[in-house]
Amino acid sequence: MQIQVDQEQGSAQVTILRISGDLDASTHNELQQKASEMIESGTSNILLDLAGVSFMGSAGLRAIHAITNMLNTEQSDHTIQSKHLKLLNPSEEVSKIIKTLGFDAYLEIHSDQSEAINSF
Amino acid sequence: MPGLATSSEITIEGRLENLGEVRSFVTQSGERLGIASDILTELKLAVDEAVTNIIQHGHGGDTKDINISMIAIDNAVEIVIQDQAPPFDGNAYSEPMLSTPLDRRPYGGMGLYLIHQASDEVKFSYRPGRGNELRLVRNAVVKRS
Repeated sequence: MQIQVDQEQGSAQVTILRISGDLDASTHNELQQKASEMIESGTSNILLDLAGVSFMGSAGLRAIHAITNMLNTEQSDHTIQSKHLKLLNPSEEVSKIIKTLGFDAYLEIHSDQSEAINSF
Repeated sequence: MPGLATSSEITIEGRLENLGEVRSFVTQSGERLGIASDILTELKLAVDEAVTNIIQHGHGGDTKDINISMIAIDNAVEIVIQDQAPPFDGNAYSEPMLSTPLDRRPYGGMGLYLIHQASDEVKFSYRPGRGNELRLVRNAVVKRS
């Protein structure tokens, strides 16, 4: 798995983590660690670009779950879709597991990068 | 000829780094067995979750071998996963809290749910002195031409 980090300025500063490869139990810690480092250094909005993810299992969602909770520091952040972590362009296969495990109710899924950035 | 079945089998060392090889085995074997691609995607996920659980929990850090076989009989596929772990009973499972906000959900616990979701039959059994056997059956898997 590889993670490319881009910074974009919309109505807020957004860090884009572009993931490519398999997001499974052997790699999910790498994503969680990278996001944790970014948050510790001041990042408050993350867009996860999943277009290059060829496989994602529950371990990948566990990492996304942990990152969401790291970013959502206000109690009100948790009752609606996350304001601080959003997803971009998951494949049909990846979208299916996100929905099967009920994460789509709490995470916005975008198909257009500009629209995603401006939604923060 | 009736009664004949097509099968594939692989034995891997129980390391997380080998999960990609496991998924490739399921995909390639499933295609050879004529399994429809959407069903094969679900079965690949189920096997990944099962093998991940064995490596992370069952084998407790050891890299003992794990055997996986796939056999197609008529319009069904049976997948058997054998480990060398202490007894584990995954026949009963609780559904994860799918509608609970993420801050109130426990981490993990989703693998067993996905295994059951992908399968029409799930049976864990213990082979005394050898380890567990997980048998998954999915019906109506063959592609229609």
